Amino acid sequence: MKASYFEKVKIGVSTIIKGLLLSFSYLLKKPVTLQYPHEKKVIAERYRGSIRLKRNETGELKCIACGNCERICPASAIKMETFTPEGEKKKKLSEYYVDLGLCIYCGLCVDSCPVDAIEHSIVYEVAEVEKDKLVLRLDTLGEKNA
Amino acid sequence: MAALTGSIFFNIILSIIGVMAVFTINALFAVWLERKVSAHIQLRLGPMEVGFHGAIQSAADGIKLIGKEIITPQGVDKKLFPLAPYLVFFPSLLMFVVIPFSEKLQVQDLNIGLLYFFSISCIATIGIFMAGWASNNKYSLMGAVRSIAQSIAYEIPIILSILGVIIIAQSLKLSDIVARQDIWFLVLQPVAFIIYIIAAIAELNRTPFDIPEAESELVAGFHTEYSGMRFAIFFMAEYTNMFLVAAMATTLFLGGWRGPILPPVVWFFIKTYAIVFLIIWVRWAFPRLRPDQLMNFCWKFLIPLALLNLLVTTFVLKLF
Amino acid sequence: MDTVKEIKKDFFINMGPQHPSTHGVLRVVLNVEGERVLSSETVLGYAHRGVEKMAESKTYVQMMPVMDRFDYVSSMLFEWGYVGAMERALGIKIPERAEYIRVIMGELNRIASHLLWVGAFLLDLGAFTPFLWVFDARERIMDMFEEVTGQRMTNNYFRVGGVKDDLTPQFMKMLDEFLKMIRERMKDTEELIESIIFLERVKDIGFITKEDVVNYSLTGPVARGSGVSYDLRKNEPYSVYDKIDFEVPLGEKGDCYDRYKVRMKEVIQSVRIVEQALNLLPEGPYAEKAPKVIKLPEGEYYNAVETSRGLLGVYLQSDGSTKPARFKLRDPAFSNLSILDKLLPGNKISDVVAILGSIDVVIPEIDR
Repeated sequence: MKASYFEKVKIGVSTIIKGLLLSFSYLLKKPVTLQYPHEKKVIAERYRGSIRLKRNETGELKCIACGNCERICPASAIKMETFTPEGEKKKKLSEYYVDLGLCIYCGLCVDSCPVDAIEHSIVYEVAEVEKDKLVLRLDTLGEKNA
Repeated sequence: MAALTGSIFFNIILSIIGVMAVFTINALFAVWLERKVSAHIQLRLGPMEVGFHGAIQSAADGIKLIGKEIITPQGVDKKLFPLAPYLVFFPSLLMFVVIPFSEKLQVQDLNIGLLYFFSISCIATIGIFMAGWASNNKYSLMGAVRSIAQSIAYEIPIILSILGVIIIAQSLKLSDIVARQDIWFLVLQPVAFIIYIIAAIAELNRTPFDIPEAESELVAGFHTEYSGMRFAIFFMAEYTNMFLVAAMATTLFLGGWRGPILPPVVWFFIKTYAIVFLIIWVRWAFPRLRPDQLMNFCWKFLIPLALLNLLVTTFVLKLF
Repeated sequence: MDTVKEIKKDFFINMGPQHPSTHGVLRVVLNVEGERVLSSETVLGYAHRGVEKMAESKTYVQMMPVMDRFDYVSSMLFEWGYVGAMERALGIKIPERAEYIRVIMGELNRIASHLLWVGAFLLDLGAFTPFLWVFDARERIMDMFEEVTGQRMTNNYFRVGGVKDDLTPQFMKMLDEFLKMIRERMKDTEELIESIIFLERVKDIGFITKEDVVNYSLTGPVARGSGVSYDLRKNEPYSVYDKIDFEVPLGEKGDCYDRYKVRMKEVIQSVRIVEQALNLLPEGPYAEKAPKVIKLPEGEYYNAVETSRGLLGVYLQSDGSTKPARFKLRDPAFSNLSILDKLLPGNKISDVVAILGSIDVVIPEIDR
């Protein structure tokens, strides 16, 4: 910094004292942090957590096995297996895999579903120790989510 | 302890126990204080899990560090590398000898107590250079070289600033200096106090003078290659030095153990930890200086100011 | 024969890909002599993912989450560039309310990006406290984004025709509280930061002249810090920026301090923009009906927006199908980084950190 010696002394003393007093005043303020995991934040409704397949009133899955979500996923995290039962024309879902290790939680699958059969829950604590446990299937999709 | 019990043997045992106790408790307490003060300045809470508000966090960290693997890299100097942490650490223990914790609690009341204190503290510089050189690492060497330049340069303002105190007290004996402080020397020598604190922070290698151990600069510092217990020793040496520098500041400027009502030892620790708090507070408020600005600051600002202070002190003393 | 072997005093130091001063994976090879830098060379590419090639095998809708992941500290500004290019191609005009929502979100992103920059800059210089003070403010912005878009960082919020969802009353409440506290927090942060130590580290270091700005095509606060008044929101206004009143702060000398000051003033100007946009926010639909499968007509389309680092250009070339034939980004930080090799020689090693910090790079956006 190009300034004269005495100017520097004056700026120096005044800024140092102001900085010290300001940091002391913050020492007396209330902290703003939450102590996770004892206290958890309130999550917004629209939060895009892990995936859940919806069921209707009779307990059946709403999914019509059209394959839109599988096609649109940018990370190829969804895989589904369908079958056509005897004598019916419409396809049904036999197995549904969501790999949470690949999923980027973007929400495009939820947007693209024509019957609103898939949604995001607000669960974000999905960490596992083994990679295989990250792949959710039809039976664990319901149990893992709140 | 010279006057505490009759026999020399018991005096020595008591001194050793006393110094080890102070040193251990200080290591635990000062680290906890630093973490809590820094956390509250930054609007967060600091350690809370272990013990009541994290009181035994330092002990837990110490146990963790003892359990870590001691890695010795390949090309290091086999004799100097393990020796360096201890050379940085032992002078701190030696410096406890002259500190007057109260009237009777002083290990040895040397005639040249002040001179002894500042001479022993220079030995730590050799330890730092040994650590940097023996590490066989470009960055450690650069960190160590900068640290030596800084340590040697800042010795001078420290000595010059306490010369004023010595002239007023007319003695190098620490118990005499405390005895003559009917008015605290802080009132008589305010400029010297400020110079002493600034130069002491530089000697401790703490922000804003912590270029040698800067983590976010390009060089990683002289203690990079050390792990586990050896790193713990460097760490403890820094906090012990902080306590010793603060203890010397209370003895010289704040009236030592003198004070009403409470027992002298308690006053001593209160004043010492107030200075420790000041040193911690300065660390978290400011960025660090560039090495050449650091040297400029010492030679062009602190030393002229200290000399001026000395001149004015002798002038005033001669007149009155 | 008297041969004196000259001892080479200079040596190479690698400010390697893993480095303690954040910014990502950047490698700067310095040739130093003692403390002085003689020459430097910047090596990029450690975070290269081949996104421009990847875009040719993804549909336009599938590219939207990828656009977020370039500049992750202010994602929606990049989305805005991309969505704008598609809307220009399809000839869609979006409703007023959507324009104002986009402006509010964009300016909040700009504030968040500058706040993170201030924290990281001071962290490199050794001051640990301002980092946490600004992150407290940034957390409130992240909470607001979570309320409206569903995610804190990589939002995936903009769509062709408008935005994905409307604003909620809770968002308005949070925004009011935020606008009340941000000015005071910025004032406190500035007062703590500008000590004599900081001024010594940052003033009169790393001068960028006006000719450099034109020759190296620098944009954003790096250019404005040298006195060149180029802000896309004023020079070629897009969206509803011509209806909003704000200033473009300029620096004088072009050193690191001026670039820092320009960014701090821009935060306050962005706060002014958000307040005015909130007042002018009309009722109405938040998105236009857009085709479900997006196919751009054949041709080349280009759109430019002003992000927090400078001018972002998105170029799309379409051959009529659902996937782009060529996708190119003109990235602001990449052009800004090109001046580093000119600025560094002659400075000390500690100044390298200050100069690199003041240019404000985010590596994934450079390496794509």
